[in-house]
Amino acid sequence: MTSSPLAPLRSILRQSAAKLVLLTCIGVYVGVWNVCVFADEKDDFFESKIRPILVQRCEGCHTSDKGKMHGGLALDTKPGWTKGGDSGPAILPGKPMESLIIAAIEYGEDGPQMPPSEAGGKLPNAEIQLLKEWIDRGAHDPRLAKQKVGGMDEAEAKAWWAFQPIQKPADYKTATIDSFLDSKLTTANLSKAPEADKRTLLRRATYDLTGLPPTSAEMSEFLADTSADAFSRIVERLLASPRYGERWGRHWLDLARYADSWDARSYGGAGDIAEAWRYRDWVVNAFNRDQPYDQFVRDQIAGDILGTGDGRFNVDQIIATGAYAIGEWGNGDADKKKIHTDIVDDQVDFTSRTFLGITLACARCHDHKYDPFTTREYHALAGFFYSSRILENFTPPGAGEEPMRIDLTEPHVREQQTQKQKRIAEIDTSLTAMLRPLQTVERNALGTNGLMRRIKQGADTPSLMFNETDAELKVLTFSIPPSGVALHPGPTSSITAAWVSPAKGVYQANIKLVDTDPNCGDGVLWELRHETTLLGSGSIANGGTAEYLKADISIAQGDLLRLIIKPQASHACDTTVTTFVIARSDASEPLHWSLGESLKAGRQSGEDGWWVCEGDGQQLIQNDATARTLEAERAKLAAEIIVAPKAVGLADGGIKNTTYAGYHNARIHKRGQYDQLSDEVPRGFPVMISKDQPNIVEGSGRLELAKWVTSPENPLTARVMVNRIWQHHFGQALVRTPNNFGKLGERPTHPELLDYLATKFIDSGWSIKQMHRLVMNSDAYQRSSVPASNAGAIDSENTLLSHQQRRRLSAEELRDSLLFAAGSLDPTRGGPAVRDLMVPRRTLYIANVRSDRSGYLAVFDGANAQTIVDKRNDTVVAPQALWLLNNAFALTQANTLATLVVKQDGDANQRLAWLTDRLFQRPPTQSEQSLVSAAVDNLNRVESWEPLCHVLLCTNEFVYVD
Amino acid sequence: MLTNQSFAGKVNRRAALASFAGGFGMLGLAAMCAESSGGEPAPHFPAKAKNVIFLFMSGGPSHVDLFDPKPSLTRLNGQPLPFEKPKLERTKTGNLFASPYQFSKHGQCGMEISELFPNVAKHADDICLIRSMVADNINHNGACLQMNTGEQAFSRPSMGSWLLYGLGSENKNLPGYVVISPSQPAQGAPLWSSSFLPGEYQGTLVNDLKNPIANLGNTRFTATAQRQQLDWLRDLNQSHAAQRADDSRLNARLESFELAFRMQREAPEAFDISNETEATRKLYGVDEPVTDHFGKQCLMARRLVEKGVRMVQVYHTQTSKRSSCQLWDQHSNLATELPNNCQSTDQPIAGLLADLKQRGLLDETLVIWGGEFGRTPTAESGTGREHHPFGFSMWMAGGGVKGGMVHGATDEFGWHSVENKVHVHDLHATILHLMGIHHEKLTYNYAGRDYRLTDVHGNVVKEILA
Repeated sequence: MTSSPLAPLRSILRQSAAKLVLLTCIGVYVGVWNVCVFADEKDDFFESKIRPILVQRCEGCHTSDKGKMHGGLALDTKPGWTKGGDSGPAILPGKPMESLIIAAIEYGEDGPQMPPSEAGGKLPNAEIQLLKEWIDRGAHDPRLAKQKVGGMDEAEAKAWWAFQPIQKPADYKTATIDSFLDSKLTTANLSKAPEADKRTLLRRATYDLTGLPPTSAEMSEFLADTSADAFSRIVERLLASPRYGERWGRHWLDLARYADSWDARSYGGAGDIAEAWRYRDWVVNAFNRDQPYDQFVRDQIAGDILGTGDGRFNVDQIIATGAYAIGEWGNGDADKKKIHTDIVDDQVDFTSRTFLGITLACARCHDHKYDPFTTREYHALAGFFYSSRILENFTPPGAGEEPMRIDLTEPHVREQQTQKQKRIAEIDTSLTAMLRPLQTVERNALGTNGLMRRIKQGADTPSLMFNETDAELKVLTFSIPPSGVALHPGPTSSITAAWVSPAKGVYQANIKLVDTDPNCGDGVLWELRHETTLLGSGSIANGGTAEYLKADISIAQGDLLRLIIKPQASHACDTTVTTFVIARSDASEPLHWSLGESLKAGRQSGEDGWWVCEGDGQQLIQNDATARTLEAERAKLAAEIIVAPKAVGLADGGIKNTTYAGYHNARIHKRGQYDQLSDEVPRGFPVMISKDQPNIVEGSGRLELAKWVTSPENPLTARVMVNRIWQHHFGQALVRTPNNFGKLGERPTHPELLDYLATKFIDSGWSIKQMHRLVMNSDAYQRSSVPASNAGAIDSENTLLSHQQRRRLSAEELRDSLLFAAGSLDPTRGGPAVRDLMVPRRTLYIANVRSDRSGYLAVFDGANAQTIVDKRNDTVVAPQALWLLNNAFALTQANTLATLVVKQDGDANQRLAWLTDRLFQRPPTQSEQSLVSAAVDNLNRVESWEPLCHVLLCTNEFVYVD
Repeated sequence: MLTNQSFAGKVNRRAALASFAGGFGMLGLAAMCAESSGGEPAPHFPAKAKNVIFLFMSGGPSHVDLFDPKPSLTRLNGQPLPFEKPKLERTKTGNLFASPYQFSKHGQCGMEISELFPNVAKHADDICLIRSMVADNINHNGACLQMNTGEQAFSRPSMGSWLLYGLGSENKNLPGYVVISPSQPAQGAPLWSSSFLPGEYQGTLVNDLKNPIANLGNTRFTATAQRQQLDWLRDLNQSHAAQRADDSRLNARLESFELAFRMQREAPEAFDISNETEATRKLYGVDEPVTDHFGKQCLMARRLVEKGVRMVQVYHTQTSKRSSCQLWDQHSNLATELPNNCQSTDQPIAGLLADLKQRGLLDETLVIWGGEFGRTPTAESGTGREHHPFGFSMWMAGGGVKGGMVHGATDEFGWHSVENKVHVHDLHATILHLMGIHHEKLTYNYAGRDYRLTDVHGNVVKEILA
């Protein structure tokens, strides 16, 4: 600990982040690291000048860690250097010239010369002077003992390169990318590869920015353009292409573990994420319109909060939070509490790795093993996501979860829709109270000879069906007996067979009902009424039968006798074969009326007292203007009802009906177990990378989180993103572990360049397109990918970028290029994912099913949607060759390409030139010309060209970009 | 230690890529190791088994009806379970439900096995039966994931992928890890996923027994025409590479086409069981309606391990009567469905064991039988049993395990594993051990830490090692 006056306060602060927030609220918060700065000028000097030198230059070999105390000397604590190593105390306060350390770093002749050349060699003079000055002033050193923060020594953590503020280079105004690279190349005495030729350059730039090759016309134009800014203008043209967002959006989707579906077996179901494409399209558009990266990040973390409320309703911002709803957690587990912790873990991991390049999720169960993050800090960040939700509720045990669907219709439109739906319901109630005859008569209906059907115009149900033949009729999934009548209710309305009594008398009614479609549906309810009096009722189950006889009904002339068939929960497949016979029982002559016989005799509605109507009302409406008006109004309203677009995404407030409903800090889950809870941790940020903690007044605090992540003060966000942009232009990043800027990650190969780019990025208003311009106009980007002669020996991994990196086309680029070559590429943008690989849309739009690890994308090293992918694998395996040789997709493109060749004019060589221009953007070689004369026997036959076209699509030249 | 960290530094990236060009993931770390050190690829200690055949009974086979007899269930049939059920329940089950099946002693060892497995029972002296298995997840998805990858929720490499990563495969013209599953089991591909391990360690799914591997041929070009195409391709690629001599990936890709061509010729033969003798087919129950399907799967598995495939996983997901991702999931009608499942697998499994033995392959092949969990000793909806991870049975045979042995026990009702508990992680550690791998030393660095199949758990079950 430090000896500063505020040390006790700092200790308290660190012990209890809860108090930290309390202090924030009353406005006396002092940033943890600022304490040093304000506390004591000596501390300030040590922290800002001396500690970094000791950490970076000395502690590689001289710490108290096991095996790292070379010469017995530890320089990571004051007691360490006071005691000194094998030669005695290393530092004598106030006496620089007598201190062994100074003799060593000045490369004195007698003693050791430190640091040795293999550890970087002699220090710059300025650093030697600083150390002397420090010792001269008493060698103030607050490091009395080693402190651990998570998995890192506190001193090391404080000096960790990635957590230091971004350093604007001194020569920022004049520096260029090449000035940083060239100085290292010169030091290494490494020759640079020459500038790439123009064909290579255009092919490289076009693939890099759009994922597609240049057209023949674009190549000719560029070759003819000798102006100095020809290439700069190419970059501008490509950046303006909508294809740019489709290429660079996909890089982002790799990091967002993007999937269109969790599992092919439940594709598009309620438990799936079929709405994910809206997030994909948002990402693509964000790149295309060069949305400032800080806003791009804020929208994903807190778009729902930023975009709604106070009259705001920004659909894009709501969709942006979809990033958090498409994650990887085990849907379908019975243990809902575990699912909850897994959802949050996915969200913490996405936030920390994708935006910040740190592996905070490693601190879920225990403090981080290598980096300065504690499980307390993990739960501080987790609190933001426990206070938010992507599921409305958990389903009952055993059922899969259903992601929350967010209605994207504007609130006022939603209100109008609600009103319209309300009015439709009112109309339905009114209409149901009437009996409206089915007027439309179809003969040989449903493609079945002898089937008569009566319906309302334009609606399949409710319906009456009648078998006009003398044999059983099989229709779809059911059958109707000879001269049988079948009634089918509508989705919301009943169907009624009504009979108008011709004379006063005593009657009996005889009913038989059979649900003739047992394969589906859930049966019907029935009622028999005389005017309003209920005579009998019942239900039949799916496939069931009911019979009913009611005798001695006294009926006046004109009275209605109604048999009403009502739908149950479902109206589908409830075709009910109905026998309805009425007999007069008080007359001398036996008289009877049968619905079936009436239909058999070809009677029209009402002709002999029988009506078949929609509804179950008591009033028979034969030609009523009211009903017509209502029906017209209903039809108009129904046409205006829209299927509300929905998105998956975040909402504020924890999952309902859980302990986290509303806004809550998380409690530490010991060993990651939800049933072993420890302290509550206020929502906040990892202490090592944040001077301040949030003051959360209301809500989940995600807005504060979003602001902190995108603050220009945040040491990670800009560095992480410029590193990713660099990676996709050079095939390798400056920090070669783009998702891990921690201890197990790689150090930047060019730290000053990284900070230069990060500063430029922020200064440009976080413009990604500006970064492309900066990078692509550099000499380094435009170099040939063939290394200079001495590069292999000096820098086999090309860390110094003496040449460009040849790269294989990504899975998306390869398939798109095959389509492009065949002239089949459908340029349609956006929309729901396409499941069929044969559909010629860009591969970005082909459904990405997370559980599918054997399809096209998996074979060609597409991003594995189960993880946050920073670097795709680069494997060369036989299944890729098998796919290109034999898969129907590849064969189809080869065939189509051959049909195009046959349509070209000219001789064999001219057609070959057309091919090589289209596929490789260059004229043919002599050996290719001899190949064609040997391989193609008939210039005008597709079959003659096809094997060769197929081979050209398989070549390395087609698949690699120089 | 077999870790990607330790080798990554030694092996030139390009060289590694070139070696990946091998094919269906048959060149594992072992090959890289050999290349970098010039020595033989070495497991951590001498392996007892070379190959694994994992017979996976998808859905959760009922231990108390098959391998774990419980007289108390019969005695107290219909009574409540006399102790409190664990907190983790899917649905409330009813009272104790006696097994409708008789158990009897088999082999010299006198192992008690249900009458539903008369032919498997004949191999009792080869079987090492574990009656004390424990898993953590009560649903198919999570439990299947754990049984195959060690982890219940997140994407992790499957056991087969780890084996391939650690040991490589012995036949470079065939996939090193094959999954034979006519219908997709719960969760599907994540069960054989290589996850963050490189893609070549991914299991290769065979779901159509008649057309086992995708893209092995086409109808547009004859083999002769295709050979001609490859010759053109070689010429074109060689002249392209001539100006780019530094890049070994280009040559690797060229070779991958040649390998693909060889594979087209050899792989169909490896999967083709039509050349097997009548006697062999009969041994597996092939051509008998009830056993035909699983018999073919088991026979294909034997052909593959014979040709050096490292791991074959055989999912039982289809019978002559139905196809299901969870065939062994008897929530109801146990008395009709369980015998159907057993009839369709009994002869094929017994045939596989006999065939491996007569060919001298059983010693080097570890056969594993089991599902993702067992089933409750209590009744669900009167005629079935619920999911049950708290105590269940699995068995192994061959490849370095003691035959004729029963290890561990559940309580008197078959509810909790009470004696010599074997957790899934312990099972995994033991399988790796039998293959010559120390489970704590087979690691892969990903996203900032070293991962292994057994996470931070797992103990080798020493008692069952031969």
